Amino acid sequence: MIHTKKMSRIRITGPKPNLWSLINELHAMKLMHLLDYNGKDFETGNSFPEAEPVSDKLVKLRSIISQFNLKLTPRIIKDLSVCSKKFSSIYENYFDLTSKISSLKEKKTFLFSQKESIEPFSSLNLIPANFFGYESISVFKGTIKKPLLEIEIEKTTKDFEFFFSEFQGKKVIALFVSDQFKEKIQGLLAEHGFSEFHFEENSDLKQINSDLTETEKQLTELENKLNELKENEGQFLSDYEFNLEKENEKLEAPLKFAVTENAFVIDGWVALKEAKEMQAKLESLTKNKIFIEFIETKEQAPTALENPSLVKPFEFFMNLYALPKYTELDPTFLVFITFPLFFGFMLGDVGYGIVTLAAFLFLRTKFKGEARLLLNSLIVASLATILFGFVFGEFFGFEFVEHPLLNRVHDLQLMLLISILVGLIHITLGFFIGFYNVLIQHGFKEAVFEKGSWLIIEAGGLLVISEMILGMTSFGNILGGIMLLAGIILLFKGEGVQGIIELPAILSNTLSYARLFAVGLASVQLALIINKFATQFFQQGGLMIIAAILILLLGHLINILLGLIGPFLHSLRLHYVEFFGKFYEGGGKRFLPFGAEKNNV
Amino acid sequence: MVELELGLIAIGAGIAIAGSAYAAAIAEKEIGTAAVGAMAEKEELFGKALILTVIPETLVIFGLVIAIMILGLAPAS
Repeated sequence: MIHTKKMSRIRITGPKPNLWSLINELHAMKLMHLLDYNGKDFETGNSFPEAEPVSDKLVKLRSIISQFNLKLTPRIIKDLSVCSKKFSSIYENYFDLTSKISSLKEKKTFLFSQKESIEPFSSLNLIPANFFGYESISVFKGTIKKPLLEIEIEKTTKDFEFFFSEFQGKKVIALFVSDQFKEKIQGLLAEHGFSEFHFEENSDLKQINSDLTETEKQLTELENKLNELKENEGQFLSDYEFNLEKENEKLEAPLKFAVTENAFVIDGWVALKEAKEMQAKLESLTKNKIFIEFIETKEQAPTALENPSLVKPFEFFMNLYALPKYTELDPTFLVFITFPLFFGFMLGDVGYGIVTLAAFLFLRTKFKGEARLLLNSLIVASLATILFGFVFGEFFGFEFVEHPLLNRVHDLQLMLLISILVGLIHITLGFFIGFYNVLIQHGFKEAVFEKGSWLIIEAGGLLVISEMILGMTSFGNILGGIMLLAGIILLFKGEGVQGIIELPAILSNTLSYARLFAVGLASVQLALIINKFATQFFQQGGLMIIAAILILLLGHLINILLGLIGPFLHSLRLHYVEFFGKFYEGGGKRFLPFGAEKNNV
Repeated sequence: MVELELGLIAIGAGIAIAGSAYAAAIAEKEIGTAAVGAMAEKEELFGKALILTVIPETLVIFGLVIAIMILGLAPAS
């Protein structure tokens, strides 16, 4: 629970004919985390010859799936051999449909551009044939941006024919001039932002329009067929992709192994408590033809968190931050203890606790995976909220207990003191864990220098405070001073100048826990204001009572939403920044057994 | 009439909160902008971005602590 799952390094050696059955068994067992072979003494293996057609199919499958935007939950297919034929007929159908659709779309774009070019000239009473068949006349047809007057053309030549009209906000022109003035006119038109339209002599607007409708009709027909294919075969495609991917994993597994002409070596990690069982099972499967050895190594093993089901949801927070290294302590359990307490201490209201609990229980039925883990942890946090609600005696901001254990609105100084004390304990705990982590990773001396120094500084600081501010002791200044000095020297030896720079952080980190009561204070004050406001409306009676109820509902809804975001983020932050900063390194590699779902660990 | 002394104490506490809140707002603005930018590139960063964005909120907490200490100066009445 506190430690990550114990791993043992395992190496399997055997003759090649047994490889395929061994891979199948390993894949089904989902116990072994495979390591890539990257030594120089042996070659790495090749994937099985069947891998190529399979990966080819996978590429096709995924392109269809992404085109169809399929997000279905895949199911297990027992017999893959029958699927291959079905898939190739689906793929053929799909390919046929999509290529037809894309050529129709091309046709549609072409027709549409033709229509766009010809239509404007209908406003000039010209048809396409009018623009062709001249020997010594140049034709300009298109749109211009700046208005063009006939006088401007007359400056070049008087021998011309000019048509102009506005069509859907565009200035359409048709200009016929003698060939000899072609270039000059071109220049003139360019100044007016001329863009030429292209179409063919024999194009017919009516024909184009009817072609366009026909194309669109065909297009919708084909698209309907494609949709039908998606509806009918979507589930099959998802299933097939999922199962084929597994097949592919197995076929390509030898790429990770070291091989010789006749033998293979598989290297990897197995959880310690499952190792013996796995060994026995594999040996009996291959009739003792393989050799399994356990290897002593100092390499970092992959990390698998191992927590009881109550604590498990809080692994979400570790995934969000960073996975612990194999040799580090797994802080999930500590987060499980303190996160709900901090959250509850901040929100602390029986009413709010009940509302959020109901909301989370409802949402839990709607989500799966990561979101569900988060909701489970929030449910625990809601329970803590109700608990602290009784401590503070608050129900939707109303004090339902006359003299609660703690009054958040009036005992400000006491609340502040409690918060800071909690911080002090939390941070000290962090240093102790840090001490342990360094101890098992690097040894006692480093642990004293790096983390013990902080503990000594903390204790020294407390002693000084005990005399200077509280006046409780008469030896605090001297003893505390000596401890502070010793701690700082140790810290300098352990962490260098960087450690000295971070000295003030211990004070700001402790003060940071003041948020424990500050966030709660803001929330309870807002609740009080809402209640006061509503009470005034209630006293006026009549219709105002409805307004008062609305104010209560809306006000508390907003306050609950704020109250969820605030305590959640601040509680999380206290863990990530103040607490983890004292000991946590993170950066462990996730234990991913061969055959297990990658995104569902 | 409320005494002048009490009023000044209240104003002092107010400045402590307002100043620190303003500072936190500026810091969060900068971090938030960068965080959203990073998230546009890589959506998984949401968790870390959220945490980084609320880090400066400590400033307000310090302001609040100071404000409460200032209010503690007020004569009990």
